[in-house]
Amino acid sequence: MRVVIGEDEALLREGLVLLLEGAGYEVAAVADNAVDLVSHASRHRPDLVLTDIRMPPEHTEDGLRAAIAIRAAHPATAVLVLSQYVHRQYAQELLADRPAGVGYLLKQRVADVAGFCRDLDIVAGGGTVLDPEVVSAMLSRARSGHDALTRLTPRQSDVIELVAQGRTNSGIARRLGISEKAVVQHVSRIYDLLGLSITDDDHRRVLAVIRYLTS
Amino acid sequence: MKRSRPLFPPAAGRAPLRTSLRLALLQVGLTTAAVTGVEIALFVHDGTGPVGALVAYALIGAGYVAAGIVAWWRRPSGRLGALLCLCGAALLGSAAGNVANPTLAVVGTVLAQLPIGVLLHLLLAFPSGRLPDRRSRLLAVGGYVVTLVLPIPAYVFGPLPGVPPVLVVAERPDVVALFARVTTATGFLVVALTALVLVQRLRAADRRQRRVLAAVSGYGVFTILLLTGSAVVAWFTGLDPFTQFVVQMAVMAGVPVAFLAGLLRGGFARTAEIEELGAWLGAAEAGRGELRDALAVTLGDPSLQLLFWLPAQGRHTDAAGTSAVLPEEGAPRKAVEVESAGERVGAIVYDAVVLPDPALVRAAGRVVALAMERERLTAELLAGRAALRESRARIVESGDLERRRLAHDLHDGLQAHLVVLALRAGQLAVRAAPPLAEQAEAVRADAETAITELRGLVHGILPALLAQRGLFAAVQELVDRIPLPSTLSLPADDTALPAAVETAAYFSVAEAVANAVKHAGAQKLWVTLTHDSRRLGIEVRDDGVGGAHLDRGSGLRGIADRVEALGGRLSLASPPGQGTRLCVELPCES
Repeated sequence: MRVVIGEDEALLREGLVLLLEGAGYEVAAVADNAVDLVSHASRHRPDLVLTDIRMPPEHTEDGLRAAIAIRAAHPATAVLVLSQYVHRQYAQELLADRPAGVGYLLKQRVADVAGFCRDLDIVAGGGTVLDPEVVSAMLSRARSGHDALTRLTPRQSDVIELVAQGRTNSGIARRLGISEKAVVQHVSRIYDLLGLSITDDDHRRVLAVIRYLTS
Repeated sequence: MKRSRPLFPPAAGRAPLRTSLRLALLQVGLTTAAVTGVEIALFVHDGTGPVGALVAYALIGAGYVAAGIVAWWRRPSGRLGALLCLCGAALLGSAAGNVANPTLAVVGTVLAQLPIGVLLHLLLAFPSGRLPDRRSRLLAVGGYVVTLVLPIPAYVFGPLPGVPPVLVVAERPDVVALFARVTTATGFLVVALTALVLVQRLRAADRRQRRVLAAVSGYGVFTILLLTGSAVVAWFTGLDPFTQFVVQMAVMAGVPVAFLAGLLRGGFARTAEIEELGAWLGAAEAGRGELRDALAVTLGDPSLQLLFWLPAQGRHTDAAGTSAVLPEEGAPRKAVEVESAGERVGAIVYDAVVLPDPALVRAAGRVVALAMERERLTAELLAGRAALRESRARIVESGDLERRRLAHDLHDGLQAHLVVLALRAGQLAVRAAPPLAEQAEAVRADAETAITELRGLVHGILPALLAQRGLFAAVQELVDRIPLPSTLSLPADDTALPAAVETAAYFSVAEAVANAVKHAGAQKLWVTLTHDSRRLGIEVRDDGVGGAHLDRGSGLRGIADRVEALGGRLSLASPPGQGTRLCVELPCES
């Protein structure tokens, strides 16, 4: 898999390169600012762009704007955005266009090498990965407002939270210490509550997440 | 302005000077009435012209005196009243020339042109009654020469029609004609220069004075031009003296009307002697601002200002404590310094057009010095308070700047290094053999805990979203994370607010929300932000147990201090069992 990295902090940039190359990814290019990142993405057409949100030139949300621009210009390129903070508003903006091939994680998640590589693969494979932080924030908001979601049982909430984080059914089953069959039942029940039909499983998982988080 | 008691107590209204002035003016009025009565009787009996016109002539003269008495009474410190009375007397005197009595006819002949001279003097001296500078004094003298001296040859070197030739010393028609031309030329010069002076004064005056000056000067210049104009017409066309006389009278009659218009338009406030001001000061415990009002009324200058000297800061202030400066040299407004016991107390700033004599203002200053000293102390206190408020706002703003810098440094420095540390530990955990791998994993976990804690700390110092997307986005995020059903209402426009206002507003909402969630046991929450060009309004309401108090351990005290330092207001309503409502208003000029 070919990756372009955008990160202005030199030590972390080198760390990311080492991490990805060690895990067998090909780093096509690195950029230390948002402008270069966009042009590298156009030139190399990587499978995935991994970028920090806060980057030069303005040191505010340049990486986020670059990621949204890259997603719009190159639909085949997946984008994983890293940040010191996660905000629901940023997640919504990332997902607004097309809730596929996109991820939004706290920067510190890179330290869990195996978990991070799994997230990279999910996003590159067209999936959606959201940081547990932003998911829990959205859940608490969803619980306090949305009708359909207030009818979820605590267990169903746990399940959709993990779905939103990009976990598979078996991963969820392991995490919650229940059978995979039970997870499938919970997920079906959630689909019913959200009014989603059972046709395309992967797509539905994404839709469920989006329905959940942007309500 | 509402007053709890009359500006001048009734006792002060009976001051001896006032009583004496009243008696004097009564005598002037009675004498004028008597003279006018006698003159009218003579016109009816022995008049040398149409009785109606002559009676009108006498009545116009009496009208001048009446207007003069009013002005004299309303403004005893000015001299305009006296001048108007003099003008009336001159008119009555010149009217005497139309009686078939040799003595009176002579008096009338000599004084025939004098009213025009006095009128010129009157206009040059408006509104104070004093001639403010050398050129107006020269012009006034010129007016008297033209109207009193230059006509002498006309009746000394030739008889005038209808007048007994008692003053004639020689028949010299050539001299008469020559002087007639000289009179006309000089007269025109004086009138033109007077008009010029009046126009210049009008241009130098401020808007408020201009209304008064324009009413009177405009009509005065018009009158004199018409009077002298009709004389020229008479000289060149041979218009008969009677018609000329009627036209002149009609125009002259308008002058006291114009003058009274000026009087009623604010050039002449009701006034009293400075002595009365002293009596009022002794009798009344003057409130703030009333001293200025009393002085303004006494001196007849509604625009008068009192400035107080702050020795510690080496500057003047007004009664409200706002910094003020004395007018510059040569400005239309002038200042007189006031001292009390050799100490500088302040200054009276007045309008030099209305009050050309600084001696009068200085005298008033001596009377009010003690009262001014008392007001000065109040003004000093207020100025100190204003300075304190400004310094509080500066402290809050510099604190905010420090917050932003700190949050930025922690974010870009420490937080980034911790992430690198966690990443290295993570990579080590993957590569190393089991015992070391476990330790590396533990280091990674510790580093992640530190990052999470640091993130919370930085968020508490300054939320990243507040710095990057402003108040409304940050409040949105804040409300998103509340584990309660909540309703947020934000203004439609997303204009940037001053950083200090945004920070104060954000922490107000954050504190109120934290109280609702942690202490109030609320089930629902409403957060409303409103914004117009002048202020930002915040309301946070919950349905909790109430009983919150500004000074009871909560962070609300600090929020209130912060809001007040920025000139805003915070109010808290939290009756037990009825929920809590926090309202904050912050000024934000944008």
